[in-house]
Amino acid sequence: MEKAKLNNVMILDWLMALLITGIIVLIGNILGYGATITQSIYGILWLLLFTLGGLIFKQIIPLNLPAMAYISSIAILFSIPLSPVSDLVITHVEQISLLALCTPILAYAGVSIGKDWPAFRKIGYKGAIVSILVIMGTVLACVVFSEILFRIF
Amino acid sequence: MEKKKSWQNYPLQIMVLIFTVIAELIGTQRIPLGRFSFTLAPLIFSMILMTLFYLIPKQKIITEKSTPHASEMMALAGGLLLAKLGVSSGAAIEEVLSAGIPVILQNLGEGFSFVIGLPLAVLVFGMGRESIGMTFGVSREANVTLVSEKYGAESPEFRGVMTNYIVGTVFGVIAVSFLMSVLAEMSFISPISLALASGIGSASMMVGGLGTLLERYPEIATELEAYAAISNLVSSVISIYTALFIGLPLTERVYKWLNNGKKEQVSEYGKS
Repeated sequence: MEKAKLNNVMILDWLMALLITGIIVLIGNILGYGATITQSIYGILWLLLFTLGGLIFKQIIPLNLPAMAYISSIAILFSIPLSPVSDLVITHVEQISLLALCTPILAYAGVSIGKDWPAFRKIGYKGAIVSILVIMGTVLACVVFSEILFRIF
Repeated sequence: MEKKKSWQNYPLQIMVLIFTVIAELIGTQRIPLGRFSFTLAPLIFSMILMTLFYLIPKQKIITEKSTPHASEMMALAGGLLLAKLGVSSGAAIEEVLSAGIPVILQNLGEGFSFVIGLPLAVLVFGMGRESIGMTFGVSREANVTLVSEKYGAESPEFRGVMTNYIVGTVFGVIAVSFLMSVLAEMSFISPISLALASGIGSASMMVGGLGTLLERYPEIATELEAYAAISNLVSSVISIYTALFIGLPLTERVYKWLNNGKKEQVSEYGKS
């Protein structure tokens, strides 16, 4: 797949989108998890920096990896013990509850669910029950595997 | 006129803000169900509120036109989540690496998705080959592509995988988070195993499970986040191979085995 050339408009669009979500997360973090603005703001800024960095790397590095790989790698590299800023990053980011991040993300996801709802209604109860049991069966299989593996290794 | 950017869809952003605020004000709720209790994290409320709002008839604020914007915003906001999970992983990297083998290998559990669903589909509901596509794995985009390449987009297997995909989108988060509530009550299962197992499927299914665990075990939040994140990362790399080399062949074999002795089912749905 051809990558669109990185340009300033693209970076600005990412930044605006991330700032908007960042502000929503900040508000949620204060309301739901008792943090203050000053406690939360540095953590959000680190997360924003890692995400923006990952998105930019994806465009300029000629490999077919998803942005997810770059974002995760940058965040991990900044916070492993070898990193000179790891203490700072970890202390700041710890102030941002993972759940506060998820609440707006799942609100965006709600739009896709609404869109798929008519298709879902056509499926019928048998397909729905089987599919839900497949999802649960997968979780259970992984739990069983993990419990066994931890006892061996 | 220039095409509107996702972030410029202000009605969408405002509704997300409103539902986030409402969800956080409701906070985490525990609903007792007999011996167990079902944990509902705010993320479930914001998701349900948005879905219900989208489905209000004749509502013009968020319509089908907003769905590409919402998907793009979700991917970008998901970046912040990945960054947070990355920091937790980096902070607990030594612990997670020392458990490297179980962390990687437990993902092979994804090859056994069919264990409950397939017998029910074939023996109770009398489904045909669509049950293979429906039960060989938790179907996200990669699995859908796999089935359409292997069986074709007109096949019963493809109908099955699409069913799983749509049900997963609508009910995946709730299903995983419900199951985690129940499993977290069983003290003989380690919360680490549960965190690893919540790394299956999509990122939103993962946070559905992980969210429940974080409410239950706030004192080991960073470790749980690290295990779930690394598991999700490993899963995103190997799940397609797990499906191709374990999930799909095993499901095919068990399907044939379940159909032994009930030939009439086979001939009814048959090899088209």
